[in-house]
Amino acid sequence: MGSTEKHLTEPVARQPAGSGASDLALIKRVQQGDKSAFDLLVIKYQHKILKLIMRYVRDSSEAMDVAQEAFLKAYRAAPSFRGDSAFYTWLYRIAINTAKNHLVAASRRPAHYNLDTQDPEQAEVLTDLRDLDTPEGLAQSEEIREAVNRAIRELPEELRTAILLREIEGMSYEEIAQTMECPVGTVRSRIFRAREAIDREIAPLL
Amino acid sequence: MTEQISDQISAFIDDELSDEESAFLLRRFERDTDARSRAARYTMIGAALRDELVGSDPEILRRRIAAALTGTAPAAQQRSTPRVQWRYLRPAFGVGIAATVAVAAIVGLRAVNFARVGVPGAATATAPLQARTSDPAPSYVVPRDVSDAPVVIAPAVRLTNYVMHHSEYASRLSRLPVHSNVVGAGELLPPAETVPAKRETTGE
Repeated sequence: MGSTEKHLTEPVARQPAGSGASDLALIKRVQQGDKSAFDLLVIKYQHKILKLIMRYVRDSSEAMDVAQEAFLKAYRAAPSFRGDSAFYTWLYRIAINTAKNHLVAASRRPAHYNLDTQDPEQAEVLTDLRDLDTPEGLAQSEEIREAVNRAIRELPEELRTAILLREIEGMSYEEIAQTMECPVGTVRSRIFRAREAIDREIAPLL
Repeated sequence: MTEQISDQISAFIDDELSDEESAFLLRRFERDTDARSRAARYTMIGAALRDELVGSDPEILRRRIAAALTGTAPAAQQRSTPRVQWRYLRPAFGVGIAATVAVAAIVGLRAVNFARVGVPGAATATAPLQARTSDPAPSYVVPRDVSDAPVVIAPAVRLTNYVMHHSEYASRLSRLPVHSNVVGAGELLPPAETVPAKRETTGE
């Protein structure tokens, strides 16, 4: 486990910008038994949670299992969510605990590989092996990434700035409006138009 | 889907939608799978920009969770289901092929037998039969006039050939019922002393 300890620096929950009203409305519906509302929460946070868990569990298929378990725990615990914190903060804690529990359980299981993890060179090989996904899968993810970046480069300046401030810097519409010195409605419109332009590029790949 | 809905979806995933708009959009999400797909693609764009895309299929986690919640098999397992069915279908398929071959063999052998034995009167029988196809449909009330109907003797010829061949090669005992052999074997077999005499008469 020594090789993975360097990845266990506790990440800080970075709450996505926004009022959280959408999440609250969704979680209320989930509490009433609406599974489709939970599906929307999964749509919103699946990538973040998976990436978070990948900091603990390097193998992508294992990380997928842990992320699934975390979401299912959140669904079962939804009735106890009182809204004291934002939904993402709450989900984030569940995901971290699930990943840690997974690591503890995994350390109790006997190793099922023959590589000597005490050897630094072989440990590095092992890490690389665990990082590998199927070639087709990696190719598809890479293709999507390239298409998104290509579309971003081709965007008009104001659209590119708006979506990058939102997606990379995590700013709220209000903060972006202050930065770009324009109304919040304009920010919303620019981000939407940027997404539409990118979506046209990636839709054929999915 | 209208541009207004797409704009709302974009604001929704950023958690920037008003309560009224959220309520409206949530109702739409319940029945509109396109709206859900669009929301998923919009979040994927952000994930790609932040380098958060993991794994082969960006939507696989969502599908697995949905399957776990609804109690159905996830996509990966659903793909393997036809393989399992094929495993069970394979013997049935083999039996089907064997049955087809058997039927083809029987039909072929029948045709060969008919060709070898020959059907006397068959040539003459086909012409009247073809001519009779223009006759009115047979009635179950009025008896048919069968005086001019051809006499097909094929079964008699086949039966005769069968009896001839069978009696030529089959042993005498096998032509009798078992109980006859047991009860009347002494009567049927010639006396021991008559056999040489019979041989003498045949000139052996």
